[in-house]
Amino acid sequence: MVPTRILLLERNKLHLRKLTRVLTCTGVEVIPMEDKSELSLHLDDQPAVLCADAVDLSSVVAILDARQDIRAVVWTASQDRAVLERALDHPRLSHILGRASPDVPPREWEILWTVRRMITGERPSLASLLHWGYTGFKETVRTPRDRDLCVEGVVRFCERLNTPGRVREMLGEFAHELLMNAMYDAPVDAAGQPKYAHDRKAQIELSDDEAAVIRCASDGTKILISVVDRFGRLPRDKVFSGMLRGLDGGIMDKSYGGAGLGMVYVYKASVVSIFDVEPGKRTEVTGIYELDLNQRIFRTLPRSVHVFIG
Amino acid sequence: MTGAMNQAGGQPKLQIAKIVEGDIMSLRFIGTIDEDFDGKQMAETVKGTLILDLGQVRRISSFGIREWVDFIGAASEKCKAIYFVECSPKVMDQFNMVANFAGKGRVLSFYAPYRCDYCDDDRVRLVQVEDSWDDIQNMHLPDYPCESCGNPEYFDEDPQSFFNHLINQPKVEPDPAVANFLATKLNYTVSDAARRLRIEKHIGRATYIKLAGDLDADFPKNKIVEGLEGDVVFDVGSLGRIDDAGATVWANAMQEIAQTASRVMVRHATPGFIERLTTPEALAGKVEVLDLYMPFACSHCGTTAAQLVDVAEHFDVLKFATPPEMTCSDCGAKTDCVASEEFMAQVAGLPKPDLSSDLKKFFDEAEEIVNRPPVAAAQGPQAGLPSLGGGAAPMVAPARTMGLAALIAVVVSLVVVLGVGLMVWKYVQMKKTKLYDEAGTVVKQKAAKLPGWMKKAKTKSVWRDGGVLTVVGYSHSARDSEQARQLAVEDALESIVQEIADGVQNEDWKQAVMAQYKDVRSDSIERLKTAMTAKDADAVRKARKKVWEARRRVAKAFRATAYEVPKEGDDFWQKLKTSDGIRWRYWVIIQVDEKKIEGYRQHYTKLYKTQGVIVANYFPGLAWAYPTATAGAVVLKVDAGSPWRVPGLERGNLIVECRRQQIGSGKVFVESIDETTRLFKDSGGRVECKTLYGSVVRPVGYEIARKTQPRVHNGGRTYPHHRPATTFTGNVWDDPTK
Repeated sequence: MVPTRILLLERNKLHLRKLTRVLTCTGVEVIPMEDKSELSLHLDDQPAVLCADAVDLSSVVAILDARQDIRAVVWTASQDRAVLERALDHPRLSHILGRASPDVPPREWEILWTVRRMITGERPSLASLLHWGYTGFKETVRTPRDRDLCVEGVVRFCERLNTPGRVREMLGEFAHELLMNAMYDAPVDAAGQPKYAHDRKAQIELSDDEAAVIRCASDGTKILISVVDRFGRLPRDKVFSGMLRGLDGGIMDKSYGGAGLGMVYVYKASVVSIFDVEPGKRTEVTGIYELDLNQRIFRTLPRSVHVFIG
Repeated sequence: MTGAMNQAGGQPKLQIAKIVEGDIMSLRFIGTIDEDFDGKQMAETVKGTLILDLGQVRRISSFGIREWVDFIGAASEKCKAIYFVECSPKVMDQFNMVANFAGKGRVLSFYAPYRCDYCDDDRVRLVQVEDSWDDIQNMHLPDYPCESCGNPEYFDEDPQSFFNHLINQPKVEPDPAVANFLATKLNYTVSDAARRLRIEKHIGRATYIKLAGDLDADFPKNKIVEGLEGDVVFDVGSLGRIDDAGATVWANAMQEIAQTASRVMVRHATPGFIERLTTPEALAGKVEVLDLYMPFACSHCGTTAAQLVDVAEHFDVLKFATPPEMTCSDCGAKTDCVASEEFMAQVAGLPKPDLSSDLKKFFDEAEEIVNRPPVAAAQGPQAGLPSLGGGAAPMVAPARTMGLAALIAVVVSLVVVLGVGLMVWKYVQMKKTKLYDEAGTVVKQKAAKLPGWMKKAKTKSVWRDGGVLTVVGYSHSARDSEQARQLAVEDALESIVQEIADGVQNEDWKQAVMAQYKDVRSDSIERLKTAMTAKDADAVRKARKKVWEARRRVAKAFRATAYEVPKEGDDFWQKLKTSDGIRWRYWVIIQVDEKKIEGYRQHYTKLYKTQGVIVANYFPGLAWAYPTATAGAVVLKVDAGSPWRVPGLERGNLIVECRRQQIGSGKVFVESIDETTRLFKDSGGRVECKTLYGSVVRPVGYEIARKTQPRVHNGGRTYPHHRPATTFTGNVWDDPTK
């Protein structure tokens, strides 16, 4: 069901005006509302995208429970677990937009990119996440040695952008984490059984059909790191439950052969993380880091998480 | 050095350097902890007290965390204590993020990330947990001036997240042996308290003196030399850093002891001791080094360990500056001596000692005695109670064949058991409301006769005579003699601060400064007196902690803000035997010229004015009311027309920061505000400062209106801190969707 309307609920008048203008650019009708009581007036039988501030999360959840043809996008200014918990429970709430404070609206590019994609069903290229003129590199990874070289490549790339040492190492860790998942967790045999997940220390060599691909790029304001595997086995609930485990104090989950902290790394190292899963075909995990942030602000900045399945 | 594992580009990803000495093991991790680190295997090699240096850990992968948690879990079971030193910000992240990452380990020091926005540069600063305990508890690390540009650099982390693990960690004071190991063997920075010199003495067949801590100008030469005769041995194995002043005073002490003692010997000499204190002056023609530590490296297991070398036994090789052959204590393989040539040359010049077996036996026994924990701690709270076992045993067997005698025996036993039970009950009750009693019995004192000033101090602790102010500081009874002395000095300095305040005539100053802490001070002292009168041990402990901590802060602030701190005079001490074990009590006299007191008074009450705000320098007495601040500018008055009146700057406010710059005094405040006003007079901007009330920080500031149009900068200007542009060599990828 392709959404034909956007229901926009935002109590701040200035933000509402701005978001209405931005979302109008998606090409579908936008219905702005300041008060959640207005929602019921506009709920007809047409599929829609409901965009709202997380302060109205309970109303959003109630509508998702009642209507199967509505998908939601929420924005939040806090790093608490409530929104992630709701997202874990509601498959049609897969987009959380973090923002620095209640005084600023969500990032314009991010909400436009997200909602446009929900409406059209298209998967835009990674370049769409950066300003034109970006630069970067792409590598295919088959062995642990390839992985380590690529991680060092990411660190060197960040170094050239004059990013602080801690940020470089954090993004190096992030790349390593994504590659470990793509190389050891993702590959399965013909019977669907994991091939390498039981031993992370093994010196494996992935075939062309199994090889992971890493991309790293920057437009000078953001750094983007993306890793693709060819198996599409990342379940949606693992994303949100993994992040929640991180907020709960990093309790490990060894049941999948690793430490079960991969999602925590993704959550901690990126301001926007995007999980793109085509079941059985392809998983792409992308993290975006904003270069103008200092660490003090970055630590407390609410994170954005997007999960696209299918 | 263990080269760990898998590699990219030839370099090991993780290197682990191991150093062992006796019961203490240190592991230094350098690089990345990931799937190649084998935690369980590493845990098999650790023992005793484990020190983990994590300052050079760059990255930790999630699987690395899994391995680390396995390692630290197993090490926590095997080791009696684990300390983390110089933890990198990355490691601090993991402490905060991952459950059980620290195991039973305690953080002694860490690197705090700092940033200077102007230079666009990130740095780290080493923070000792013990020294910065209050800052950590308040979750606020101070700003520092940037070394490059002088602008403030700030703690670049979210304090709530960064200190999450640390604020839940109990206060740690490492064992002196660990502190010395860190300072001497590994050259780590150790907190001041942990490095203070401690002296243990045991007298028997000879005089055995153990020294632990740093050897510096504070070395109590007179106290040590006094009355030494016969055979004297110094155990210097736990001696920390030795500075020039310490080396001089040590050499002087040896010269004096050489006059009175029959023999002077040194045991467990460290490389630092050998290099600095085996000069002809320090040996005084009499000092014999019995044994010394030499570093040996094992290439087989990667361990570097200091091994004790008996000088007499190996004299024939040592005299040629050649190390003896030693084997690795871990794996038994042959080791290589890694001592410097200078060290070996010094060793070669040592005289051959000659030690009788009974003297050696005495030294070993004395070493055990001085290393024993304090009596009260060793015996524990149950010490002195009759054993329950003796009374309970007769009850068990005779019941089946009970005759009259047996019956009597059982009744007697029951009475005994009930009696013992009653004693236990009484003891438990006593523990619940333990009475305060630390008077004890004097078992030793500095001199048989009290000095004249002590007699006077019995009736008053402050007096004036011939233009000189005399203050006698005293300590409560403390477990450690050095601690007792320090408490006495702090008490005296606090009294001097109070004397300075009492003589101030300026009413504004009295209202703004004295009024803030006067009641806190008198209430705290009164509460302590009441608790002591009531002999309520818990209340005394709490009240005393508050008073002595405040006195310590006042003394610290006085030392930090006065242009010259009064010098300590004579002292007097008593060693007491109390119900809680051996205690020490100290008195210290400080005499200051009244003119100097007036000089301090003028320094602290000097007024500075800007924009209708009158401020004075921070006064040390304020440390009673401000637990976190030891510097700043105190507002005495805000004029009606001042721009600071609207935002609410008031009399008594303590200004600690302006424009992210720390305010150390009234003068700095005025300079900072004047400079800001100059800067913003055309372009406009916000002048903002931070004030403190107790431990609550309040920003206060106002806007300077813009007078002219903002200047427009055209492109092309290169700022000095900008780095040259770089060219990327990466390939731009194809569109993945196509």
